[in-house]
Order: sequence, then structure tokens, then C-alpha cells
Amino acid sequence: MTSFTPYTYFQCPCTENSTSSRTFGEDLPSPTSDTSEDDRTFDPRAPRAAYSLHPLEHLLYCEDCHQIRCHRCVLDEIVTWYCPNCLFEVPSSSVKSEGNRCTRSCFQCPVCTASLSVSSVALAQTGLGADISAQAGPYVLNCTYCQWSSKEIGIQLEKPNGIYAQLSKVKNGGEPYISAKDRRREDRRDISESPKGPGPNETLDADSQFENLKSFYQSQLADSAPSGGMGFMGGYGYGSPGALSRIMGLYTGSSFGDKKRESKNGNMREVCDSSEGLQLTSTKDDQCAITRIQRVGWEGTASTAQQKEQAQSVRFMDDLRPFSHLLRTKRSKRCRACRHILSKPESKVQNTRFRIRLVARNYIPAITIQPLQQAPTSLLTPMKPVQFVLTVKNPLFESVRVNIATPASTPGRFASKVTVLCPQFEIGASTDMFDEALREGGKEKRRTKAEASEGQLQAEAGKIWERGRNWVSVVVEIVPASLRTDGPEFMKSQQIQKDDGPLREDEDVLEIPVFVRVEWETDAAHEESGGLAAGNKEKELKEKRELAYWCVIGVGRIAQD
Amino acid sequence: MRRTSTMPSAPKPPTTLSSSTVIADNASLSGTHTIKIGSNTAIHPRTKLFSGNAPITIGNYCILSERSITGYQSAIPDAEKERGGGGVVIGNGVVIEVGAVVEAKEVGDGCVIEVNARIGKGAVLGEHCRVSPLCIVAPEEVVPAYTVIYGDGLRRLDRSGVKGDVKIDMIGRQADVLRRLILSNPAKFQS
Repeated sequence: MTSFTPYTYFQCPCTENSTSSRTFGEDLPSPTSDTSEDDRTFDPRAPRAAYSLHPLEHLLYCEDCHQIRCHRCVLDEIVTWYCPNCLFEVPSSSVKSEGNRCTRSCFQCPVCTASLSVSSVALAQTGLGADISAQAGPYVLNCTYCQWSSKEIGIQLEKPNGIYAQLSKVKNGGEPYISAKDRRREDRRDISESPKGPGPNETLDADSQFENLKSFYQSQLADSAPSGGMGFMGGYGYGSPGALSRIMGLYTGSSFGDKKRESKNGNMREVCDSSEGLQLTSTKDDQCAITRIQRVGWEGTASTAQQKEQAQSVRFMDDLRPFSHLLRTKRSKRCRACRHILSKPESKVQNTRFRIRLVARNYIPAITIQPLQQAPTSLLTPMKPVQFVLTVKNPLFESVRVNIATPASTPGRFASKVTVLCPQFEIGASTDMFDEALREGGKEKRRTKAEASEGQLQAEAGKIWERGRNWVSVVVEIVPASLRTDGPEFMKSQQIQKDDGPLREDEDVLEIPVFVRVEWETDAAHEESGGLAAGNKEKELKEKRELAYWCVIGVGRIAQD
Repeated sequence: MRRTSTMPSAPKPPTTLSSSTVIADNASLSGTHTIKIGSNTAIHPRTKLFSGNAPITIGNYCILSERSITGYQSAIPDAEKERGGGGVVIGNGVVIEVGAVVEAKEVGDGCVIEVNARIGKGAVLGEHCRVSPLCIVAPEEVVPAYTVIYGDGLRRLDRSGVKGDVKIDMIGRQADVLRRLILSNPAKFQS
């Protein structure tokens, strides 16, 4: 059995006002049985719960809404684009024009995705001054991890820099890449000498085919737009028929767009030769591929992971090309409700600091759980009461009052019984650590684990187990449920009577929903929104705050008997 | 204070070193079978060569890094002995990196065995193979020449045309540098 680490997940309030979910086969909830939101116990096993539970470290906190914010209730804004390899900041305008890949010299190995390095093919010079003399070309791209080299696809470079530009001019095998436009220019020159022009079925590479298709359809759209059936809309400046049909579709449903497309057929024409981007597939291509696969064998074919990285569809190792690094982003996050920034990284790529970072762990108490007595096994024995220490740690500079509420038995088919021995307590402020250390001497000795195991101190109901500077731990008593679904009928719970199927995945994990309510008083003057004058007036006033949320504590796995 | 054992130290294995071998003072050569090390080979401090089960033969221009273990770690089967198994034979220009465990029957010329890689007992590596860090070659496996083992046991053939002599020349130069850095004490290992 694998070991189990206790965990605490917090529920983000953004999912609260959604309707409760229903599993397959369950009866339709009758409208009368609808209870109000506050009364309902949060069920960590509900299918919807998986989307609203987060570890504390993943959550943000909005200071203006006084609410927890998860990644689903914040807006992302891209601050910078940068290349993860050369850490060069790419302006967003060039991201739009040149795509989301690094256009400098950062390339990844097509075989293993490690970064490629440039090295000279020429023999290193020996003798005096060999270290300082520049290496001469030609150069190749080398993978230092899997030893792939651009020599394998027949590409050698003349310069050690500007690799992106050099690579885009060279095909695999070393032939220069001529774009369709250049070729046409050359062809035109040829035509003047010989009558042979480019055939209508000439083969194009993917880039020029795309170029041809794009230019053809753009011209078609431009031609058809004014003469289209929607002449009366022309005045609004919706030039492209695509946009037009989309807008009309909004009002009239999809049938309108279809009708329009029918009427358009007369005006729009499809591609009919290679200069317009038409490429005929022939069985000859398949035959070529089959003979090639027979020649190179399994070794020479690219894996699906390798094919996926390539810009064009590629089947063989010889056709693989090095690809440049994908750019990454730094993002700032805003609250969706009040639009205040919750997290804003420093815009410089090299700087990993944040200008604003309102993480939840600085605002809401952290909750951890651990067994009171060290059990011999990591599994919980069914029907045997076991005590856990629940520690609540206060990150605020004010002392807080905490109420903890749990359902008497956990939701789900196997209902374990849960009792918090001290559900109400106060936690001290998170003040200077050294003050506490200096004051420590006069205080009563803290309870240690050893004492607890000797049984000298029993957990008492209504009393705090242990208290520290800014934390309090209380004892929770749990009676784990039995995981048996067989047995006499009268011993079964209602849920099991309804559904006595075998144990589902992770159903043996004991999860306790806990409702935490935190109250504290804070200086109203801390509020920036109050303004200066108001702030001065209210300086003496204390403002009462409260925060309430559900969280789920994973305690451990129950042993199957 | 260091406690010295009252037992006499274990007998040194019969060792043949070339005059140009660089072998660090605190490399560990142990076992009972012969250990033969070729010319211009550099052996780092704390390299372990164990010939307790089978002899070890290392070629010229090799580099054995620290904490690497070479030699059969368990007894070779009788069938192997009858076939005249020569133990571990390492070719020329082989680099064994830090912490690698080599129990191969044969390691071809110009192989590179990277950090913490493991070559199983009785495996055969062809020429110019490269075993990436933490990769494992199974016992008795035969790896063809120019194979690169990388990632999670992935293999590919390096067809970029490795120039063997250039590679060995580079390793030779590295060994020359090591000659200046490592305090060589061949006398300690030769009885």
C-alpha cells in the first residue's frame, strides 16, 4: 500500500452559487426539497467538487472583495512574451506577426526536444593560439543529449548565428528552399526562353501551398463581397461575407447562413490548379511512402511524439526538422469581480519577483492535520476511534476567533463519524517571532509528543490541545467507517442499501468537509478606499471582519477488511 | 583517531599498467584476477575496479571517472567460464562517467557511458555507443554500434557519421590535461 499524505483543500467560493450536481441514476431533485445554500453540507465527493477544491498555495485573495480567488475566477493578462531558452523578451507585435516561437537561434532537437547547440564541423586547430582562434565553418546543430546532428538531415550552416533565417532557406538534404513566389519569377524568365511553363499539377511544399490558397481565397472573397446578396449591408462596412453571415446568423439562426452560402456558389469558385493551391493526391505518394518505409524500417520512422512537434506532417526521421522554442508568458491576474490586480510579476524576464502578489496563505488560516499517536500502519482501522491533531495557523497581524464545524458523519456511502473536541477557539496574532521567543521562558511547558503517548494528558472536550504564538491545535476524534457492503440488511446505511456496488476508486480515502469561520477586528484606517479625511476620522474605530469557507481534509485511507 | 585494522590488507590484484597510464593514488583496485590498463588512460581518484569475479582489460585513451565501478559484481556462471569469458573488456577511447556501473562483457571503441548509467552483466556495447545519464542496458544485451540510448530506454542509431579517430584524439587531449591534474601513483598498484 502506498503511503498517504494528509492534505487540506480549500473550496473557492466562485462555484458556490451554481446548482448542485446530480449523478447518473439519481432521482430528480424535487423542487420542494431544495434547501438554502447555507444549510447544505459541502460534499467533497460530488463530481463538481473536483473543480472547486484547491490547495492553499494555489489560491489568491482579493483584498477588496475580501474573498478567496482561484484560477477560475481571475482574469489572466499577458505581461511579457519571452523565449525560455535565451530569455529574450519578444514584443507582442512580433508575436502577432511572426508567431509564438523564438526567431533567434534557439532550436530544439526533433528527436528528444533538448536544446541544440551550434558546433563547427571543421577540425579544431591545434598548436599555439588554438584556443583563441575563431572556429571556421561550416556549422551544424548538435544535440548534446541524444547526439542528433543536423548532419543527419543534410543541413550545414555557414554562420554560427542567425540560425532561424538560415534554416528557413534550406530544405532537408541541403537544397535551398525557394518560395513559390521566387520560383514563379524564375519560371517567367524561363518562359521567355522556352515555351514550357509550370504545369497545373506542379508539387508545392506546404508553406507555398498555404500561401497560394490564402491569396486565392482572399481575392475570391474580395471579389464576391460587393456583389453578394447582402448589398444593403455594404454600407456598414462589413466587407467580408464571412463576417456578414456570422452576424446575420446571430439574428436568424444558422439557416440564414446556409441559404446565403447557396446563393454565393455562383460567385465563388474553388481552386483548380497548383498556382491557386490545389494539390492532387495520387496513389503514387502512398506507394513512395510504402517503399520508403520498407527501405528505412522501423528505425527510420518518427514517433508520434516527434511528429506532433513538427510544423508539417512528417513520417520519417529524415524529414524531421529542428524546431524553435515555444515562447512563454508572464501573466498578471485580476479579480473578475472588482478588476483589482491580485498578482503582477516584474515585467523583466530575468527578474522572478512579483510587484503585487496577494496569495491566500497570507490572509486565511492554514489548516494541517496529523495523527495524535503514531499509528503502526498508515491505514485507518474501521470502527476504531482514532484521534487527530488539527492545527490552525493564523497568518494575520490580528488575533482571530475561529469556529470549526464538521458534519457528524462524512457524506458518501461510507459515513465515518467525526467529532471536533474544541470547535471554538482564538488564535494569537502573527507578531514578531523574536518577541515570542523572548517571552517563552515564563510560560508553561508545552506538551510534547512523548507525554501524549504516555497517556498522561488525555484530550478533553472543549479544551485546546496545544497553543503557540500564532497557532492552535485541537483534537478531532474520528471513527472510520467500515468499507463492507455485505452483511445483514439492518446494519447497512441508507446509501449502501441504495447502492451496494464494489468499492470505487479512492472511496476508501477518508475526507472530512470542514466549515471554517474566521472573525477578527482590524483597523478601518487600513482601508485605502476610505480616503484620507475619512481615514483619520475612523482611525480609532475597529472594523469587524469575517471570512467563512469550506475546506476538505484528507485524513487517510481506511483499511479494507 | 583513525582505527587501523589488525588484519593484513587484502592482496593486490595482479595489475599491468602502461608507462603512460595516469592512475590516481586513491583509486581502488581490488580482486584476484588480472587488471590490465592500456596507455594514456586516465583513472580518476575513487574509481573502483573490481576483479574479484573476472579479469578487467581496459584499452588505450580511456577515462574512468570517480565513483564509477567497473568489473563483474557477482560470480560469472560456469557456462561463461567454459566459453573462456575474458571478463570486462573495454576498448580504446572509452569514457566512463561519474557513478556509472559497468559490468559489460565488451565495451566497443569510443563509447561514452554517462553519469550513473548502468551496463548490465555480460552486455556487449558496439563501437561509439552512447549511454545517456541514468540509462540502463540489460544484462546479456547486445547493443549495435553507433546506438544512442537516451530518455526512458529509447534507442536510436547515430547516423551523423562519427569520426572515430577525431573522437579518440579529443579524448587523448583530455587525458593529457588530466595527467597534469591527477597525482599519478602507478607504483602503488604494481606489486
